[in-house]
Amino acid sequence: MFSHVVLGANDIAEAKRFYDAILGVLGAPEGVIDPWGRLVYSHEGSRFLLTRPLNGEPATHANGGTLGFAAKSIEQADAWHAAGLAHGGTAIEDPPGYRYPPVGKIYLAYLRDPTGNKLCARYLVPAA
Amino acid sequence: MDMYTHIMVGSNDIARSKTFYDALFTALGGQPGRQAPDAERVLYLHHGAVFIVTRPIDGQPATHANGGTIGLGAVDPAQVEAAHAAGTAHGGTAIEGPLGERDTGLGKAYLGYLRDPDGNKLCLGCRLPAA
Repeated sequence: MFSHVVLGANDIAEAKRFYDAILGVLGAPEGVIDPWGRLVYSHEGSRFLLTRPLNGEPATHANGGTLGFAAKSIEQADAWHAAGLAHGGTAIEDPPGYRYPPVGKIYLAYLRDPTGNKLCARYLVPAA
Repeated sequence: MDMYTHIMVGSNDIARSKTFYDALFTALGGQPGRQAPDAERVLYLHHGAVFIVTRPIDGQPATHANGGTIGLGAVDPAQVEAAHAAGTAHGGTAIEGPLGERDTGLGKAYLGYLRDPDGNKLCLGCRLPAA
């Protein structure tokens, strides 16, 4: 469904430290800077980019927006959260833990990136 | 397994958003969204991924990011054009000039950009075979 996702960043070097850490925990290779100065990650067949806004204005986060990354285990979701906090991210919402949506059981961890973009790592707990 | 489990965007009017995204996802070969029982969210399940439109849980107005774009994959240029037309006919706004071929840095793609009714920036696109 998603060919790629782009988030704004005000400081690409700061974004690289943060995203190299949290995506590295998920098994993604280090990000690369493309000819347009954007930071590009390729992982699990998806692409993720961080860019300074094209309009020259500061990057801002959405209100109501969240980008969810797939974690392969509870331990990996916890490590993702810890790596983010150690590299310029901010903890938000409840601490990492189980949530009970109408279908299934999931383990979620929430962070804001250094620009304020809201992120989550989700592990779908297998049905017992 | 995809890198992304889900993507959420904020909405100030769920019915308006559903009109827009139902038209967009239908043109991309998907299904209309399912509204949550509290009518605060609409979920789209398409190609194994989840896209959710929600009223912000902090009670403040939904706002779009600056610098952010969500890319939605189409199968060919005709589907990119159909989805772009469906979106602009249902409350979306065309941005970034006409649809067309662009060099993405990783090969050529056919892209069209639009904003949803709340201003969230979307990119409709498909890869083009190398010449």
